[in-house]
Amino acid sequence: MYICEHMTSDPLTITADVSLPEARKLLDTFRFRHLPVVDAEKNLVGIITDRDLRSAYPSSIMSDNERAQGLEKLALIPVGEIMTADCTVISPLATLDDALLLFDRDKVGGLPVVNDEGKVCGMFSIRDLTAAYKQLFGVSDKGSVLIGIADNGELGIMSKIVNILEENGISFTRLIRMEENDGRAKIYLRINTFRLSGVQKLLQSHKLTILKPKP
Amino acid sequence: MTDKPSLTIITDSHYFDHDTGGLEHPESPVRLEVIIGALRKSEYLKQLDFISASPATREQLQAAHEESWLFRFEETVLSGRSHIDHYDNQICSESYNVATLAAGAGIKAIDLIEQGSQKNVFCLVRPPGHHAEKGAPYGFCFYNNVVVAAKYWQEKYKKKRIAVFDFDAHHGNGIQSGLEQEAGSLYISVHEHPSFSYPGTGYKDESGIGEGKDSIINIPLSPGARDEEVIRLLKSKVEPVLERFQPDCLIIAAGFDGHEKDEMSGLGYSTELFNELGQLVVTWATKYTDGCMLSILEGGYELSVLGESVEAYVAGLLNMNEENK
Repeated sequence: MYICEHMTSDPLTITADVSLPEARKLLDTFRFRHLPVVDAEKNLVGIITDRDLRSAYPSSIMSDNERAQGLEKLALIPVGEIMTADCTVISPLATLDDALLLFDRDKVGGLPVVNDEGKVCGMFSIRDLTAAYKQLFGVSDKGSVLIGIADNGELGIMSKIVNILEENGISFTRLIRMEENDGRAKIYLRINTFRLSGVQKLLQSHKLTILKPKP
Repeated sequence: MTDKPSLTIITDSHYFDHDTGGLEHPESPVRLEVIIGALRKSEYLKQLDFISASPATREQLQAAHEESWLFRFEETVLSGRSHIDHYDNQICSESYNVATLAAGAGIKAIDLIEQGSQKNVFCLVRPPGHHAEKGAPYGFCFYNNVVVAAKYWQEKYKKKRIAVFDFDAHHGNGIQSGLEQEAGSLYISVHEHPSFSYPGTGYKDESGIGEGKDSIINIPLSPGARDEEVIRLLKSKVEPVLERFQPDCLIIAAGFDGHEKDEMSGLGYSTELFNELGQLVVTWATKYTDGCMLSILEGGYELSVLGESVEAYVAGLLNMNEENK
């Protein structure tokens, strides 16, 4: 659940005096979209993104002459001039949920991970977040399948489901209860068996309603 | 002899010896009983040539599986345990030999096809194979019969461009992982959406890795999907891919659990769809592989409709439907 478990550790960083073409080359070579900018002591001073660079580069619809002049000027501009200095950061001990809220609030695609000393110790991107949640919810886990169950309001329904599964030797890895907008709740269960219909029948025999997706 | 098209069926009485613990387990020997029973009573019986299987060699198995898995499988069977890794994967004292015999059916079929003695072969085997991974069993499957066959076809006969079409209701995770890193193969699977169905893989965006990029075509279907949708997708999505790929050989992973009465999936196929599928894959074989193709049985668990579903597919392979009987 912690960022330090899912971030890219010891990420590539650059200093503010690196030129824009050099920064672009690094992003292209390593196929990154964000580069933390640091000082000599690895303290974070900003972030530069592929989007910042695309905006800074001369437009492809300019004439060749104008474009060549623009590229010449650009070669002299250091990253420090166009980077976002006051960027959103996250702590290695923050949670995935913290990151989700930050991505949602600040509409950024990557967060430098900064430790208590202000030094960059990682990068955490939206891709890292989706990969972490994919793992957390068991999406695409080989040998698993999701079952939806209607929450009928019965007291102790979660422990009832767990007991049914354990008493019948059915392995499962996730059990989640979600309130829906209509006030009804749904329970999602990820089981590890091919014998889905058998599990469904077992749950139904205990008066639980299986949610069937509507085609 | 008849001038009507013929089909070789490779099956074996030893396939009944893989005991999964009785009828409570969906993958029971009765599956094969009802299939063979339906074919024996079928009006197409005279067009079918039944022959027995031969076991795959260790080397042939190792083309698709890690040697450590072969040892572990054999040792677990010898130890007398009831299952491997998961209760789904029930075994008995004969399971290792039977699985080896199931994997060998495709090999025998390929030899027959390549020697020119038969063009169209259907292997009625169990245990099924398409969930089996290189180093582990999954979903009743121990050896990946299709991948073993595909590798053999590629290695022995240098037929590199293999297309595998899988119409089982469940995604063939093991076929995908066995082929997804190769440029020379194509795996197309039409299955119930992995969010609602075992084995939880087969999302549309799984398209191959490295050199195998774009070699995997997953077509997930919403629960309840019916015949028309399948045929529409095969015409619009699969046929253009086959046309681009121009396969040298065609293997069909034939699963019948998408039938509306089969509770192992939420799909809504009719029996007639399997006839249409049989006819369709023959047109692909005619177009790309000089009519040569190999089908291997995968799933299908509802005993009341499994026999008629396989019979419908066989009739399709023989280009028989209600109109041209």
